[in-house]
Amino acid sequence: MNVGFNPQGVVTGRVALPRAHRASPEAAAKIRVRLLEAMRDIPGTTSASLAAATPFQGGLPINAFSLEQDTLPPGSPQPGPSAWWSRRTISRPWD
Amino acid sequence: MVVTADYLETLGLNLLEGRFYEEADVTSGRPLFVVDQSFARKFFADRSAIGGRFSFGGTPDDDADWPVIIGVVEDVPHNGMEEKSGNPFIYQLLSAGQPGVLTLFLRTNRPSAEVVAALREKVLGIDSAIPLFDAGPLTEAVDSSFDSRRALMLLLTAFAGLALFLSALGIYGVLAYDVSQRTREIGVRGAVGASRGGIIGLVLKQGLLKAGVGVVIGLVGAVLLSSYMTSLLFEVQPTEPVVYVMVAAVLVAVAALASYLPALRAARINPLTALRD
Repeated sequence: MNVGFNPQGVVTGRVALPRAHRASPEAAAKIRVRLLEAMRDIPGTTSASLAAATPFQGGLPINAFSLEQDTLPPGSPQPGPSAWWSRRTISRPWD
Repeated sequence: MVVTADYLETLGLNLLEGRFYEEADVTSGRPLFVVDQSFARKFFADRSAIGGRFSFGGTPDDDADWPVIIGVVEDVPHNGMEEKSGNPFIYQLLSAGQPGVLTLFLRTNRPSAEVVAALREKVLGIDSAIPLFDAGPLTEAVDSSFDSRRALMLLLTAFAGLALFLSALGIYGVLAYDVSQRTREIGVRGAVGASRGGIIGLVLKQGLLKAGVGVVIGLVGAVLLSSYMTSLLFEVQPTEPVVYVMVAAVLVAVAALASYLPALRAARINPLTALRD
């Protein structure tokens, strides 16, 4: 079964970050670097990364977006005043 | 999907075109995006998606603020194997802001149990207020996404097995009763000189013919009815030949047994005894 990635040999885990680590972009960047370094420090690790979700566990946001010069069919929701939320959810889907 | 630069390498995603993120992209300030094949196929059907621009709702004032596509990766069913909506996915670099919950991934050549213990220790070392949960091999996470389906399937399989068992029991009962009712006739056949093998062959042939008619009617019914459950099947055809052949084989074997055993018993009886009873 092809799933588009190779789960063999990958160890995963989730962390809940206290608010202090998300208070500012600097704090957020710092904890990310520390988590990545901690994983790379574990002997045997060949690569490490972070993501907002685990594959196959669902719960990913679904957002609308529009293409430049792409005309939407009449009657469909048009980008405009109501688009603020979709832009917001894309740039900060965790809010 | 919000990720860091090594996501492609760690999870072993297949890059089809362009490049994935680099650490330097975090500080570049440009809104760069990696999209999946569905996205490229849907919106850039006749050309390369690389360099393509799109936006989330509004139209950026500055040209440099347009989100630009830098790479295309093979589709990953992030929401589970059954996700067949064909919804396009985009990957975004984890930069400003932070989700409250992050998933950690590391590719390793050591046993996962050891690595999980080490990871727990490391996270504790960073800040004891950060809990690590759902830790384990990624294969387990993928596997567990099928759990609820598996439980349901197990139940359905049990019911189907019960149905098969009941029909086998019914066929055996009817055929065995039928043959036992013919003890006198079999005795007559024996008395006028039919061989034991001949009698068994005759009974067996008649039993199998009856079962054969039943199996054919059943198969036709199954083919007609199964077209209604196409929407419930996943990567299996409603007319899977293996299933049909196996069910038919089981029922025919039961019919053969149900005819053979009583016929053997009847053929063994002394014709005189059979006629006298």
